[in-house]
Amino acid sequence: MKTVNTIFFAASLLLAFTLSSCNNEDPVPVNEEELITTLTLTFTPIAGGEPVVFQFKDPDGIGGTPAVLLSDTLAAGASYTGSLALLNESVTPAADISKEVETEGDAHQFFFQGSAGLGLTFSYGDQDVNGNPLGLKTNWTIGTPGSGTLKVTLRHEPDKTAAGVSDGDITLAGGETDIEVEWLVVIQ
Amino acid sequence: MTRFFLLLLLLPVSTFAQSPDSCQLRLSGHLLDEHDDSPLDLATFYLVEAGVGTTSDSLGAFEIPDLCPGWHTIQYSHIGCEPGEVKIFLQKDTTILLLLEHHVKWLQSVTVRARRMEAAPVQNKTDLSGWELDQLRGASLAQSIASVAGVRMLQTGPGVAKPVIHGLHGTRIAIYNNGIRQEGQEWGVDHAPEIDPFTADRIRVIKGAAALQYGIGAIGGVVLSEPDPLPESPGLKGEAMLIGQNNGKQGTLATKWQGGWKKLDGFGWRLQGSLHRGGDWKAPRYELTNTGSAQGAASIGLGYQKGRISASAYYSFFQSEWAVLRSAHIGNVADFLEAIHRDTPLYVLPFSYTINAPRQWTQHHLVKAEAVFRPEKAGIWTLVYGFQQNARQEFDIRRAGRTAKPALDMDLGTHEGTLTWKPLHDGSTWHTTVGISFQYQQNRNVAGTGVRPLIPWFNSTTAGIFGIARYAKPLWEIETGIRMDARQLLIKRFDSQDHLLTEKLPFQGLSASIGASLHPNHIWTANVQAGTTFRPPHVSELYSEGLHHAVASIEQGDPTLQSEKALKGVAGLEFHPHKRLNIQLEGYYTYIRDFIYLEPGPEPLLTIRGVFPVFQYTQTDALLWGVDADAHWEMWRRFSLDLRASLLRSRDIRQDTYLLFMPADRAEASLRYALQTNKKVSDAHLSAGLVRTGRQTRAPEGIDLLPPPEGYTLLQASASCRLLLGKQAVSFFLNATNLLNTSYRDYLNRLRYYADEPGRNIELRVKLDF
Repeated sequence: MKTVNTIFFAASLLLAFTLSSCNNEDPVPVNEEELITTLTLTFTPIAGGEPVVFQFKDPDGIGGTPAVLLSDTLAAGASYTGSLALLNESVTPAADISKEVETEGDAHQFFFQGSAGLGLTFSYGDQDVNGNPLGLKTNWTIGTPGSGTLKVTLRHEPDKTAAGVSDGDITLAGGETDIEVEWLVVIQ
Repeated sequence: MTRFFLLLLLLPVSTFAQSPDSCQLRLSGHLLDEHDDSPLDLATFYLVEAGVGTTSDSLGAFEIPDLCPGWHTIQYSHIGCEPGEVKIFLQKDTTILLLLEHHVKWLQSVTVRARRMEAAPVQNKTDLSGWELDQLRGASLAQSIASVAGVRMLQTGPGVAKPVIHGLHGTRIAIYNNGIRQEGQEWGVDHAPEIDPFTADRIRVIKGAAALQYGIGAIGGVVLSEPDPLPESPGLKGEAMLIGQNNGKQGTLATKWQGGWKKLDGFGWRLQGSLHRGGDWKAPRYELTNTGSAQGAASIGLGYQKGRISASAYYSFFQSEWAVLRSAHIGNVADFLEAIHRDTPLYVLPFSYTINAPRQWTQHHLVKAEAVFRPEKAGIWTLVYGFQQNARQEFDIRRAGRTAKPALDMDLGTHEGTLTWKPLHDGSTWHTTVGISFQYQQNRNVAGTGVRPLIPWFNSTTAGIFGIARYAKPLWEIETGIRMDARQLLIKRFDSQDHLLTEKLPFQGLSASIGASLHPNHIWTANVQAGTTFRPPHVSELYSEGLHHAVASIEQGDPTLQSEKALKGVAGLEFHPHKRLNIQLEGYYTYIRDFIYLEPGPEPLLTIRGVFPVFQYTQTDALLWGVDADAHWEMWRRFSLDLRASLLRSRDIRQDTYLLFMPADRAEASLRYALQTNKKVSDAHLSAGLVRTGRQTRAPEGIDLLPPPEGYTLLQASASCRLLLGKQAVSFFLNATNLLNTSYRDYLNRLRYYADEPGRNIELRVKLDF
């Protein structure tokens, strides 16, 4: 019955080599599809004039080249419309992540937090399909001169019905943080 | 409790017709070491009913003539093996082969626990069941062995567990599935071994140093999960097990069938399979939302033995999918801090069987072929080939419909071959083994994840050669061995600008061990062993770079890491003054030079998700030492008491601090009552026990964002029996863990930051033997 043994042996070897695709080709680079390399918060004065731009830029994601923060000065007593743009510039052409967020607006919400005492008040200027705030568009009123920080947070799958969340209070929002960027802000 | 006697196989080798009426039957046979087939001489045999006895000769042979037909109880004993007995029904002249697990006590590998295994299907209907293992059926491999002193588990939620031996896990221990080293993505702390625990009829833990035949890297120890030997004669036998658990509303179905073939003597087969489904587990105060699992596995084994040749082939398939606690999915440090200070996890939803993201999926194929050749006067030659294909996918909660796309998708293929030769030393006290081994492994990242892979493309080629020599006298023996291994890693990866970098890294090293065992009388046994071995750094330690979501930190590999060099010494003492008391003490001391660990980096890194702490793989010199104790006392009538304790201390010598995530001290006690048995009821027991796990007070400060949790005490209870319903044997096992529904967290569970451990779990198992 050696034949039987030989058959078993050959069959298992055959199976083994079929299962393993002995490929020795070079790997292909992976595009980070969900990477957000660039976040731009643009304040456009309602009264007209040059827009004020705050930016976070990390072209190659985690590691590699360090991230860069750009901040600017807001005018005391002025009113602005804010707009957020998210890009993935590690791929060519750059992917517009804001669109992805807008499409899944009901699963996302931006929060804006100024440091204590800083004269920044905002309201949401856009809504998701359920009529809850999203935050790609905002309206701002700037108070008295001073300096501090402004933090933008994007939560994925927040509880938009929790108390205060639709007014921009992050405390009970839950979900996971996809973006958390903080700039120094000067109001003059 | 060590069980040294472990009768592996009792099977008639040849039978001759004889008049059943006369008391002229002859029982003869051979007694061999199960491990290397070497004859065991000077063993005593006593037939209780007939009142006659004999001893085995230098070839391990024995013969008892003039026996009456009917049941006979054979009591046997051999130095180095605890006495045992088997029952055999004599109808005709019978030759039996007794394989004793003799080496458990003698070999350099300090085996602490060998579970009794299911008897092979034998005509004499001798029943030596794996009762102890049956009581653990349905648990994962890591959970099954966590009851061994010195062994714990590293968990990621209730369903994912990896064994930890003497404080070490992952690539620092070796897990063997049916004689082949398990090769999965074992570097990940949340990657459990892809082994169906139902394939094992015996699980053995080797806690000694440098168990040389088990390859490199196993600084902590070795776990062997082994099926019974395949049957070699016809006779269909099967079993089925049904398990239900209230926590998670889990159900498991497992079955196993084996037999031979009338037309081909020496041929045997086994088919085995299991299915499992579970929903969300429940902690005492809340549901652990998204912790369900689904698992399916099957295996087939074929074997043939004739004369001097035996050959076998084995294939197993394992697939598993499980959900990772929803509340453990966080985005950044702020989320993490919020989560660890939350009393109740963020997501608590009603019970569900649904497996949502974050979730993991694995599939594992194993093919094994083995041939054993025993040419006349030329020793025993064994050739083993194994192939494994391991696929792993991990799914995250992602944007724009990508949740359905794996964020991590890896394929690991491993070929291995081992050739060993055990020359015969006629009538000598020398036993030797030499062998060579080879392994080729390739890791591929499957395209289409849209996420940079955590570990790069690599090929790994390893070759080794070893020799082990043992000199055994009746009252003492020594064993020594040496092993040389070389590994070459070929890595292809991309830098942050997507330039392809190719690197070759060679590693080589020497392992050696020496051990002695002393057995002056039946009361005392002592053994000491020392060994040195090395572990090349894993690719994950060399090149991983990325965000570790569950603990909100960035981990960075270091391609300049050197191999870890370990020196481990183990000393054991067993005291067995009489039948009713057995005490075992074991001390160990492990020194690891260039121990690889994650060190907090000086500069946190700014990302779009905020600032993350950076942890860098680096090396230090580590020290781990401890004591394991185990006592069994049949104290009064039908009551017996088991006590077990394990203590471990660790030191990071260069930093002069403790090592991170080391198991806290643990002690347990259980009281057992054996119920009266009769023809209809056997193996009936009631037991209750307490397990106390202390708080790990010896942890480095300022690294872990949450200090080690408080210690906890759990109450557990079990009842079991085997009933004979008509001709059908049915076994029942009722087992309850965390009986008081205590809320607690375990230091070795990575999800301890987010949620409590599961609450009370009551499990009912029904086993049918056919």
